Amino acid sequence: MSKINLSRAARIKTQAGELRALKIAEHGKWAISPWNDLSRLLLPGATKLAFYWADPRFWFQDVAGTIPVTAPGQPIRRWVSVAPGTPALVQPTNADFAPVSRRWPKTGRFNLLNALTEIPTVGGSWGVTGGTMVNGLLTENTANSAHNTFSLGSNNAWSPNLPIGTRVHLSMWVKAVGDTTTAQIAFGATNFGTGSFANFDLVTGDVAATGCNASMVPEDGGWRLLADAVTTATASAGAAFALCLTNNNFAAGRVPAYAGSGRQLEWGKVQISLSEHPYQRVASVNDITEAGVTDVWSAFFDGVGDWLQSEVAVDLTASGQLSLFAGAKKLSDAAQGTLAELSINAPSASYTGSFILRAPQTAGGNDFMIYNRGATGSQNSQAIGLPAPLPAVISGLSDLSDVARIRANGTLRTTTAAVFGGGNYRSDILYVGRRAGSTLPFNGMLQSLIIRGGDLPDNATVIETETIINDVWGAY
Amino acid sequence: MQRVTVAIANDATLVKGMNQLQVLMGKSEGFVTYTTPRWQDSNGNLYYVSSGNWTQEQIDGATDTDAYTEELDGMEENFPDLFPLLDITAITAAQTAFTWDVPAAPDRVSAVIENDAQVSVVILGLTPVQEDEE
Repeated sequence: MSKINLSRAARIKTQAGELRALKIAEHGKWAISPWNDLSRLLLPGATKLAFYWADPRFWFQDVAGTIPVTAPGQPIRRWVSVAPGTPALVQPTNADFAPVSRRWPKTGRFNLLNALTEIPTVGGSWGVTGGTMVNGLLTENTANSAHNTFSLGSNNAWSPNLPIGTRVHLSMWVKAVGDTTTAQIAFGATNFGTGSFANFDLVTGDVAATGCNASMVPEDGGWRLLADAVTTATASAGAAFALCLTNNNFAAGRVPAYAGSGRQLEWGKVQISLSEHPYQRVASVNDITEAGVTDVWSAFFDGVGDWLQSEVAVDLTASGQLSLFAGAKKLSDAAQGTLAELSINAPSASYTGSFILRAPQTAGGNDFMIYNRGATGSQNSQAIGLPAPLPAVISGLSDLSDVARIRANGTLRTTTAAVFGGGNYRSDILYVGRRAGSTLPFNGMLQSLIIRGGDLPDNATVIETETIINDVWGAY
Repeated sequence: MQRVTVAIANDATLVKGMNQLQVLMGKSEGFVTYTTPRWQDSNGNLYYVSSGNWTQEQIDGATDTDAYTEELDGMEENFPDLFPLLDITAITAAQTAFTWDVPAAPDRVSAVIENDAQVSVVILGLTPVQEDEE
């Protein structure tokens, strides 16, 4: 079968499958984790491997490493390297400067469902209780109210009236306004009983689902909420679902009653599938064609003050060659962002043997950039055409005695001239998220960061490394 | 937990007070949270900015000068190196100047509760100080 006829998602899957088959042939079994496989792949020949993988088992909420990260939304003040002998990243100053743990379905992917509507103003078969709905803005009453809900009403053509046991999928975009932090999707009691609902934390991305499946994905400055439940009765009437504000109570029960406080929620398109097959079409490379999307952890940097730094210097002095891999997602191209930088100011001639990974390199640049400074020269390698908020897998393959290359999402983007003048990389503090912990803050998510000193790996190893990262991160 | 973004005017007393308040709040282990003002308003006034998730207790305690009595009592034992440097007057000044939902200004500590820190700095009326690369 020709790969040319396969979708990109299918090709990725095929590559991953081939990789697994290869691993099975080589080792008799597939490794227990992607970071184990990456270590096995990248350790041979490495003079140094600083390897940071987003997963709670490598994270702590304190610098000393005594309080583990156990859930989304917690500060990451210590990020332990997967590879032994390399320093942990720490946030030495304040929890408010620490990136926050995040977990959600593979970045950028959600399902297109077969029914789509824009949120209308109040009227027709849409109903609001305890609030108002005007031009997509749901506002809870300030007076006491039974609850605040916006329902797809009983007369709407999309009311279920489906056989018992039919799985119904909802997908909707929401954005918190003001101090609103939580939202709830409650499936209609008439068709689904009173036990199916999900609470969404619009700050941390955490989800609590009861009697249904639910997840959330960041999108356009807000969140795409996804939920599905099974009908327990066949009924021609009754609301399909309700969206509730829960008085910022993430632990609230279904359609909670509380005193009104005037909280608001912006609400966009709603997609509904009343069939067992919600995956209707693929409109872009960010869509998937199969059920079941695994979730992925990442460290969220707020673009204002978050940063980490290596506890001690990362010693790269044994080599003038450096391989750098990162799974990351910019949330904005508005300003320069420092994803990683060795030394406090790599562009300065005082810091030969430094490097930078930037996202983006220039305000509005829609790019990623790797910068190297050798003994006598320095140069940028840019991967352009990668606008926020798309996720990416970035690779930098640099030789200070030769050229530097940057790859993005599996393809070579730029090769520099041989301008560095040789020399080796330096031993210095590695900063992640802000230059020198001070300026050029990165706004986005970091899923993995691998810095490998030593002879550059061959092309097959580079591609295999990228494929393993992408298999988790879902960038392309 | 709610994301709180704070902008502190470039005022020595306010900065000192906020640095010390951060320790009382349990967010920092040293008086070093705010070291360099990296944000500015439209008039060029400089500000120190931080953003992170705060508990309701921390939010309520930001302006309550009696909120951290216990923590102050425990400072000598828990932070013996910091204890001699405590400046209650500066902490009180910072809490008194702490104001919610207003743009940053040279005479106060401004704070916003908003999920997106990027939105918060816009509400605070701030932009990053541009850095000239070598």
